[in-house]
Amino acid sequence: MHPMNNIVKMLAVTGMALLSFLLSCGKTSVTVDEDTYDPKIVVQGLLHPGKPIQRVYINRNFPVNQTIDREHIPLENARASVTDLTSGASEILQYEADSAYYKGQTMVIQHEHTYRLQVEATVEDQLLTTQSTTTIPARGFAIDAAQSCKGDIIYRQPNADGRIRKPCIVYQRSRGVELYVLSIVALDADSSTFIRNNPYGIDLKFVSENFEAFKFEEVWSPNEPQTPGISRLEIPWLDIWFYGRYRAILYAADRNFYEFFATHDNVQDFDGNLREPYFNFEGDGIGVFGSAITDTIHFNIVSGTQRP
Amino acid sequence: MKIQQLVCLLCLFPLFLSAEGKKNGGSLSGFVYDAENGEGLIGANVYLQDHAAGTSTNHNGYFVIPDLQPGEYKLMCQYIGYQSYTRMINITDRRDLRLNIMMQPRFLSSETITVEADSMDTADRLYRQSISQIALAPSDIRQMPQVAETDLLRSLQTLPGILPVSDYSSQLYVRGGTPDQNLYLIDGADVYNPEHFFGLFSTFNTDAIKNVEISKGGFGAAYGGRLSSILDVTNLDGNRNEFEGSAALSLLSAKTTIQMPIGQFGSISASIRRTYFDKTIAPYIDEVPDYHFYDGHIKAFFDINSKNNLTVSTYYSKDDLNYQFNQDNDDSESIAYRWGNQTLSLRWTHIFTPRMFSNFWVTGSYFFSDFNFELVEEKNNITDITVKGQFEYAVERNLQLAFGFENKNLQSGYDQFFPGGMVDVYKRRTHYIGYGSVNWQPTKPWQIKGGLRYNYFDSDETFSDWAPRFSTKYRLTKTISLKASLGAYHQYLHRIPRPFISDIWTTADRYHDDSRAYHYIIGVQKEVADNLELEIEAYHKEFRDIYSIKDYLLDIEPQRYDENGNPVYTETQGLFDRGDGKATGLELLLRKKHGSLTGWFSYALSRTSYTIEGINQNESFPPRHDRTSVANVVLTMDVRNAWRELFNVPYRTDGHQFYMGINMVYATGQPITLTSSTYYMSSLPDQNIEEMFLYPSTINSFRLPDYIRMDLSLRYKRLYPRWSWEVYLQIFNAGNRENIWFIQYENEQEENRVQQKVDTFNMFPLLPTLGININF
Repeated sequence: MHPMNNIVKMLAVTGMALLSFLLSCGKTSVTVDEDTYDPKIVVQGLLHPGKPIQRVYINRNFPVNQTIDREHIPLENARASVTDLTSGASEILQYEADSAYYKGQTMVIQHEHTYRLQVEATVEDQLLTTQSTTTIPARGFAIDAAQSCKGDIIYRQPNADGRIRKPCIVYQRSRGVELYVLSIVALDADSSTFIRNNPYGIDLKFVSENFEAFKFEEVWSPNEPQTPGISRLEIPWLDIWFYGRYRAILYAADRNFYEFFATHDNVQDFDGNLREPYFNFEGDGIGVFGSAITDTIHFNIVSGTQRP
Repeated sequence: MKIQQLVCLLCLFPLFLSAEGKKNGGSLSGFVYDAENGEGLIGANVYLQDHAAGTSTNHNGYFVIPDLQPGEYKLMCQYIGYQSYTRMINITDRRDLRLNIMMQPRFLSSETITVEADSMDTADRLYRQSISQIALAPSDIRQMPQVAETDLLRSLQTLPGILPVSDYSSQLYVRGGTPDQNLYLIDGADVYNPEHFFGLFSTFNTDAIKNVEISKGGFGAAYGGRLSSILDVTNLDGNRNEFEGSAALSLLSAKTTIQMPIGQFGSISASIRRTYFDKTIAPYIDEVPDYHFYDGHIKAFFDINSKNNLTVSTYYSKDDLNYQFNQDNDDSESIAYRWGNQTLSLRWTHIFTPRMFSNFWVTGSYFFSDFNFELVEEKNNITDITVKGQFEYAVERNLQLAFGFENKNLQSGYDQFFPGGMVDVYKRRTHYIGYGSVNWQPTKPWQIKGGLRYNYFDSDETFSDWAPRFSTKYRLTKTISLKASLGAYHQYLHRIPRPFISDIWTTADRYHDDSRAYHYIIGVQKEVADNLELEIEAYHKEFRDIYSIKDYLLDIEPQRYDENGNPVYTETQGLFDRGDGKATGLELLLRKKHGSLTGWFSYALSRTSYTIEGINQNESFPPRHDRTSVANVVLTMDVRNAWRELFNVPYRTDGHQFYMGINMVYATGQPITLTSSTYYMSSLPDQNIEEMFLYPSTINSFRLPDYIRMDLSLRYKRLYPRWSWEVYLQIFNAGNRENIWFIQYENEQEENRVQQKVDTFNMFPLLPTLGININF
């Protein structure tokens, strides 16, 4: 072959390599804009047996990448009603501007009754409707304070066998409960009570930047027996970051709340992709309309050296 | 008939065949070896010139040409990278001639040698190759620029139809399939979870590899158990003539391989690799965990006599992570995570008669992983003990039979203790397999192969399936071959993939059916110019009963409760969503195997969709590994010879070699589910912390920007009469392009206003690597 042909071939290969190199430089970007937006009514309502309807929060969703004014999130003009499908009674919920909740007046929630929430509201000039039903768990649930850890608990104190003892809650189960979730709040949480010498390498600076995530913790236990009986829930030390007083509220919740709780904050998979949360709404609603029985216990976390 | 009786019958069948029946003349048989190190050569082309008689060597390097009439023949043997072998042979009446062929490599030493064109006829080789099968030489893999060091699975990701899901994973997605649908074999033993470094690298040490073949579909009845691909890795038997070794140092690891003869009757090879930054970096930087991995392989080959040889191969790998959260606190919690593979394979090769060749294996494979953290303690393992036999019988020159059996005994165990419960799953399964296939050449241009594979899988339910396979080849012209294949494939293993931690294997059982795939492939292969081969294939693949782990494990019914009322799970019920899928594609591979510029260009156009029950309202959607277009350019230039070629100076090799490598990748962006909106609420009513949460759009309905990456490598090699050294620089993502892996969403809160920001998490940036290799 003529050398000139070879040189042309070589120049072509070199040129393509350079072009490829230029293509392989730079930055890419993704635009997440209003094209993906679909308006929804957002509901957060949890019914408690023996009480009237007190806290049904009705608001709206927003497109991504927007600045949101928190004061204008609630939907003040929604039409919301709750119907007791077991007894047939019904009640229109009224919006209370101070708390931003929709509330009932007369209806008292009963164990094992089924309730339906219906909401109609206008979002972005679109009339949206949604509804959801919940069945209240049976009576019987309660924390067994005598068997649970309470009072002063020494931080990471080992047992006689060397295993580290954990705070625990013992409780009576009841029928119709799909999830037991313990909400823990460190009532004295601040920089002075932070457990600096924690075994997880977390420092005060990091905690300060994410303070609420450390002050509020939760431990949950799904798939417990559906029959009455006694269960025990241990609080991992990973959920304790401050010395001082703690309040622990145990929720015995229905299926709706279980699905919401287990999925709504877990929609981003390990590869970054999103997956759909489980919300039990028909129509244009997202969020939760569920029910739970609650009970509360208090305890104190003290360091080994602080022990009275 | 009981399955055991069927297996016994299959074992005895060869004895009937070995009692030679009708014999139409003599035969020529033997092995083809590398003259330098005595390694058997796989796929060498052996034929008699001027006669329509020829074959290629099998995985042991064995060949047989039956039914030769008495007379004198000119025997030719060709193999890529080797000089042609020619010899006159004389066949006498009904006599079987045994002849071992020693092939001389083209590149021997540092001496200056003028190299002529390669001996292997490209069109012949293409015709002999099975459809959708690609063989890579270890040298191809080593030349390719990569992350930190050479990696087999990452090399395969440059081939058409084989995809990674991100830079952070070496796993393979083959023609719309998922990584669990690939069967990995090392010297005949299955390997489960072949991953180092949390999936970043594969466990195969490329210095120990002799041959790699990947079949992307349409594979014959001899293979099964997976839906998408077979990766068959054969390690080095060892140099049968002299001691040989290599050592290499990269930024990631140090490794060495040695080979030597065992007297006159065998050889041994051994290799070991270990990462070392736990010794060099981790002691000085608290944030770097104490982590290392190592792997080792030993293989011994024994040539017992002319009819028998024995191979013993073992492989061991282990990854070990220890991370203490608070280095200053003796009471600190830590994460300990260990995982690895062990395989052992014993292969006996027996030649019953020249026409009747057989291999028998006993293989063991064990994968383990142990994870410990305050909240969770986990043990995950799978053991596979397999006995298998494989027979090849040349009935006539144009009719060959292949048949075999396999008995696989699986034990999988998974224990996990977590707050509020435990998982304790232990299962034993048995899998019996029998298969047979006929390879018939009715006329010279036609070749037809039909096969049938029978599976009997004994779980808590029994599964019994017939899997037919069919393929055909037609040689349209001297340089063009047409091929087609179809088949049914069954997989009885299901996998639970997990982020950065080893996958868990389960099996078909009373809750989950076996998965099935149906492959339909057509292809054309052409020698487009001297030493330039083109392959185009179109495929359609249907998946049935594929299982993916549920997005949220909410409905797993515990089998019992412990004394504290905590659930205990012993079954797989409720773990998976069932689905179906389909993948369609067109692939092109243009490849040049020798000369001053070698490499390939590949392009794949494809569409994959899955329909998973309970997801996307049961409508089909593209999985994350779906890519419309993928193009790869992998080039290695022998710079000095390329320069010579410019001025028509003959190609030659001498003591100095300088190589440049380029790997260019273009891929359509991955499907992704974006956020359709955000909403504001608190998870628990009493906590009064309101947060922004994401509400997703329709699953995978958007695409990330196109993925583009260029990797470069420079290598200088100096050869001396008895040894050589090589230094290299590799640059992964030389253009430092910011390819997006996924999107992160962050909230910034000021007073009563919340600003949500969208940020990206990117693939690897520019990563340079230096290394040195020494061969002696």
